Amino acid sequence: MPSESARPEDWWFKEQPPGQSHSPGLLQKKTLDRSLETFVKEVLQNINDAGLDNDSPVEVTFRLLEFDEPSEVFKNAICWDSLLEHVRAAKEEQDGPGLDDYIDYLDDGGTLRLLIAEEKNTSGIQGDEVSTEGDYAALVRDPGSSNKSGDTGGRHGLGSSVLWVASGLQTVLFNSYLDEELSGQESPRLVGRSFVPTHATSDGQWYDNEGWFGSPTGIENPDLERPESVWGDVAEGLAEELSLNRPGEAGTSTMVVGFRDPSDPSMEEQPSPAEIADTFEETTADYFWPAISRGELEVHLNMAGDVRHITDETIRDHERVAPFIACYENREGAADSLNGPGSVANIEFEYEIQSRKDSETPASGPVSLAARRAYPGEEERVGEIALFRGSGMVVQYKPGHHLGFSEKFHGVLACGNARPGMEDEPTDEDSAIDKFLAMAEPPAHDDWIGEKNDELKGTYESGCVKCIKRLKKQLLRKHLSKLLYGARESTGQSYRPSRDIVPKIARSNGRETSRSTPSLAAPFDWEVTDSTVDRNRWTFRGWIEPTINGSNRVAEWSVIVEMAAMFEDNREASKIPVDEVRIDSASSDGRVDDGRGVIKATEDSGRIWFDIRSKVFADRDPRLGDVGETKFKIVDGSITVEEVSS
Amino acid sequence: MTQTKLMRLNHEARQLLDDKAFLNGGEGRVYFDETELEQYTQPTDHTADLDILEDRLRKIVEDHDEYAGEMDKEAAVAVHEEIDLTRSAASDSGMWNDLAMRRFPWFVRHRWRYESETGMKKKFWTYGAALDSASSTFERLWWIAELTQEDGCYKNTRKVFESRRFCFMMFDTQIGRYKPAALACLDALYDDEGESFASNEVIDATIKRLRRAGTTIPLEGRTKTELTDIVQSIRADVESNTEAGL
Repeated sequence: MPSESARPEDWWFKEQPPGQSHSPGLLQKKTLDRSLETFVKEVLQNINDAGLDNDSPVEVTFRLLEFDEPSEVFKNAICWDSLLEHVRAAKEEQDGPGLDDYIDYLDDGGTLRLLIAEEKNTSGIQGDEVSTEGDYAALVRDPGSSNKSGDTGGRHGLGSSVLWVASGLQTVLFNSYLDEELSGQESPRLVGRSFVPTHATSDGQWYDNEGWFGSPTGIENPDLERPESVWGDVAEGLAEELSLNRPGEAGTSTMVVGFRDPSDPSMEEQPSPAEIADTFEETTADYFWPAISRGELEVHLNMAGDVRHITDETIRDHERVAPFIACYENREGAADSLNGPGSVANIEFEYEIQSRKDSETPASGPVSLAARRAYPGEEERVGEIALFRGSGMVVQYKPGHHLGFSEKFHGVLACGNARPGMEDEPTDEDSAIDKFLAMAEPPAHDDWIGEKNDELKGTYESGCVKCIKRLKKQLLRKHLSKLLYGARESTGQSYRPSRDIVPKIARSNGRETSRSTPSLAAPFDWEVTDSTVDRNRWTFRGWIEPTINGSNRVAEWSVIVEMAAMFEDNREASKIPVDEVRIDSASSDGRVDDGRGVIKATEDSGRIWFDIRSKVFADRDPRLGDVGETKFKIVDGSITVEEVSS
Repeated sequence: MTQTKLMRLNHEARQLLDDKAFLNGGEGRVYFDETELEQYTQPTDHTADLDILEDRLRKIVEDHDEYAGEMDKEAAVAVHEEIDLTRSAASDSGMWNDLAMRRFPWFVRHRWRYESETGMKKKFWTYGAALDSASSTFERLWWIAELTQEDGCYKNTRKVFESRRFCFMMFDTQIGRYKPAALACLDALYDDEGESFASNEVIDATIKRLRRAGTTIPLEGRTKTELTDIVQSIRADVESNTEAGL
């Protein structure tokens, strides 16, 4: 049972004699592609795998904070001087760019960035400090090892090491609420780790490469002899001082201290918050659309004020992936060969794998291959096939021309637990295929490979290597050919794109909506009748009402509005916080929520007049860019209707 | 002096960049075979002495470590001096993509570290109007040189490439294509005395606020002197706000 927690007074590294072996830090640093894309993929995949078994989505919010000078409260809480003493010593021992450049950057007045990944509806860092099983062992104590079973995306567990690689100080903190606490544990749990080279401080004392930030009570524990997690109220107070506090629900908030683009350890060309947001948004959409479009994952970004949301509601706005989603979602009941643009065809074919050696498992099962004919205006990833399984992450986009196809289409190969339709559950065969392909994924989870995969060969009966290769080549080629050419090929008729293709309608925004979603009229009618800058704040006045026609009666409705500062090229610059919402209806409610205005009508109030004001800004000189064109927009809304019987 | 006809690649050539070995130059894949490029190649009406340009680029590669941003200064001057085009002609990305993919892929790989497939494709192929982050290597160099040189003097060109942040903030925007605005921002944000740029925070805030100002006062049409006055006022305000902790 954990002892009474105490606040850490410094970063603890084990003392060692100078002649003992020296470690360079995290070995995995050089095993993964060091890019922001890889960072996003690995972190999201690990979080998604930690989702609780319920119908709610895993929610992830990436928050980037920037400080020209961290506050004294933060510095005291994180034991800044102690951390820097060790990191400064360790930089002398590191080969190549990294700590040295980052410390120089800070010394030159560089901005300290903190990246926080806040998860909700995940299991939290479970497990005790001693056992080899559990999240704590894999993520905190021995990052780079794995605690995951065979069919989760992060089976290799290397994902967590990217956290330290993205830290200029090679330091990461965790604050976690556990879904299941052991005896004596009381959430939250707060702990930090730093992995730097073996080093000697200025007094000549040598230290091990593993740093701990935690309750010093663990040092006296003979099973630990190092700091342990801080728990309960002490952890909560400390988390607040660290800006790492989180909602009191299951999940973990992870802070990368001194966040940097890991591909630029020399700190020469670090991306701006907007560029970071671009990369996070694109990578999330590109690789996690299966999980997001199924409502299993939501990703929110707030990169130093650059706010974005990648959810089931917004994912189809990403033109790069919208055709793949349309293909995946419309494959049920689709024809078995393609027609004109926007049409989807689907085929299920039997895929033979091998049984496990230790117990008899299904040795074959169906996988789903679907394709959607591209419109002429669609240019992103045309001719590619998204390969994925039940983890909800695209493993690879395979170019069709590698298989000899030059047709304009988007394809999906949905295997394992990703095969069944929305209403169906995976079968034993699906699960077997999922586990088999999971083991074929290399540490970066960007392919399915049988060769040089000793784990796969050791676990499955002989022939398993060929099974992997056959899926990606012969089977894919054979069945894709059926989808693309189908009966036309057998009857000798040729497909004539110039005659069969119809122009894409402008409103379709790159995705086919006519099959599944009928076009809808705008749900709200509204108008801004007056907008002024008065006493250094924007005021927008106007009215809004729902536009439900027919015999249904509006029971209640709500809208969320935002103000956005605009650039000269009509792009949004930043959000202007709303400070006050006034409405003219007694039966309705106007309020401010997180810088947005919320209007909620509790009954059919008809047209509501509003008067919405921004926060006060410092100056109002248009020539200095203090105040400029500002957009007032509705960003979300809902209408509840009651059917009225005639 | 041998003039070579400049060629362009049509939009379908982009699919060639799905070849990862070409992107990172692995497996001896330094160049595409001519047969691979042939079907996508179209002639242009323009010529340049590409042999001299190649000599200059090879010298730059010799003089600079891999991935050193510093090489942009001399490379931009070389590309702009050796490829004499009107702005209208230079707006054909197909021509710049051709230089990157056919003629000088080794330079692209020397300049840019392979971090990801998507990222490296952007160095060979122009994906958007943003000059710094979405334009292929030679289009980026030529246009930034074009927007900063004054009567054949490249002093300003060499200055802007000292700050990737300035290049990104300035030339990825529409206003960055207006030469007086680009030069005014350079004047206001580069301290000649200290031979360095303002901090990244000041660069960010100043250019963003200039763009905000552009929503209410017309910037295009103003002279460099007029714009410099505006940008200097914005910078002073940004710095006084920063000092005041606003």
